[in-house]
Amino acid sequence: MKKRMYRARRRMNHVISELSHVLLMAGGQEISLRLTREENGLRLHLEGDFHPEHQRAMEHMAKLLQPMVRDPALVETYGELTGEDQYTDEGEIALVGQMVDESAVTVEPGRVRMNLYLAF
Amino acid sequence: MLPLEKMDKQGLYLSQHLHYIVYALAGILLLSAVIAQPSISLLQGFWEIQINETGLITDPMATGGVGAALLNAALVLLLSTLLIRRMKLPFTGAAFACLFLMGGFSLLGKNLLNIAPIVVGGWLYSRYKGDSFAKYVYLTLYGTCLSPMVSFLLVRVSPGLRWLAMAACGLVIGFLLPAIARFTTRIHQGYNLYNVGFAAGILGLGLASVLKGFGVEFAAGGGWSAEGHWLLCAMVTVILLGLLGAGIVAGCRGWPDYKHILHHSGRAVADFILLDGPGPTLVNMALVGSIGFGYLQALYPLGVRLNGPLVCCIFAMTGFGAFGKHPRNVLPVMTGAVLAALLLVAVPVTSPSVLLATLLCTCLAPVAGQFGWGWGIAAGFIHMTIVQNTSILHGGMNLYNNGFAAGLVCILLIPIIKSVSPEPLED
Repeated sequence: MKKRMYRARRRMNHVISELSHVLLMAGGQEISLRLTREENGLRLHLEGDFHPEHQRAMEHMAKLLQPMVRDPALVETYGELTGEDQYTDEGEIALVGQMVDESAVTVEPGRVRMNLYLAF
Repeated sequence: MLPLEKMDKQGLYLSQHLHYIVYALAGILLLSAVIAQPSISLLQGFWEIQINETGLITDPMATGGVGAALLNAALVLLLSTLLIRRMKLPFTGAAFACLFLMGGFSLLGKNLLNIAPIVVGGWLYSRYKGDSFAKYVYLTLYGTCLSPMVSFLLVRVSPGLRWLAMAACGLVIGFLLPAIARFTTRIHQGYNLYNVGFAAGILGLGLASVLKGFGVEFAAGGGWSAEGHWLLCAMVTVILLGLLGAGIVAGCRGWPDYKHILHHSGRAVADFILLDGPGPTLVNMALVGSIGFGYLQALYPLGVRLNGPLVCCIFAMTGFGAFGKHPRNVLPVMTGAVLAALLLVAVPVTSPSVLLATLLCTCLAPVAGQFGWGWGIAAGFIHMTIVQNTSILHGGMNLYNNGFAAGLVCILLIPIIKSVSPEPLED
């Protein structure tokens, strides 16, 4: 069956762009991405390291990526802004958290793992 | 970093109850309306506001009376809030910004009659896209800034066609604006907080040009009320103190709780409720609103009196205190705007257009937040000069004219700033 993939694909590109910005800015040396197409959406597994001085920032990012409330109108209005600019900050990470439909993020010392799902 | 644990359980509970603050605001507007016009003239004035022409810079308080304008604002705010509640959207900073703008701009041109077809147009767009209307509700509500065009057709078109013309115009605006607004965010990259104002300026330019092609002439705006100053002062004071109190109750008990907000650049998306929680956000809203209110009070000896458009500006500043504005990033742009008004613009700082621009140029606050005071002052300075020349482009039909001008300022300024600023150093 044909799926409405276009918007999910575009949105996932924004998410990847933003997260790779964040990890590289946090001193990451290696980022592994695995993107899979599932029946009703796209799933991104992302794993990367970061410099220890960014530990608290990464824990903060994990919280922002797993929000307790999600606002679809916020995403529709501002979703285009993620991953675009060189000045990545908390606001854009929070927006990524709003853009994905499910998220599980674990932060260990110097390492972060993410499992993000975006429905079609 | 602020510990986000504060946002967890208590914050979630609070965010589920934040809509009561907007209901309280609507209640204060309603009460003020009855105090201002405790007679049948309240309803007569309310109807006058619905059927009269609006636009930049028309004060509905001059059209239907202070109370009638406040009643109109209360009802528009209430219905907008109910719409967001009906869509089951959480009350984030974006919702606060949107609703305060709806309430505020109902004191500068929006009314129940002229926003209705635009909202329906937005709903039709969501049907066309096969999406829930919830996704487009902010864009649609912001899109009502072109409502003066609906009123214009209602008043100017011949009686047999006027309802059809206004409905068609509103539907077209509501249908087209969400797509344009999504596109324009990429142009200014979040440095203009009144993004839909920029999009509406472009759409308004197109629609006004077509209408001008048919020989339509857009006249300059109408009255500017000076009545009800003290009542409006009391109302604004109650609202700002209420927000401050609510913020303190919600957990912002001192400087350590609040200060993190000041570290944000404010560039969209800086949703302070999501980032910092309800307590600091509500306190910030009160502080940002107080800056606008305080500035106007400082001009009292020069004859400035609160009226619909000026209360609108205070509401706009207060609402975006939940979505990007804070004292540290609004003051530089306001300083730049005042400097330009004193040095360049051939109208006094107390003239309506300059007052509005001084308060609404704060939509460029992210420029100061991201690039520093100097660039913030430059942005405010350029904004004040550009905004004097933009309303003619859309015939005064875009209530968010300052958002339109701010978009142009961003196109001019942001590439220059980025080209001369050193690239950020990273590990």
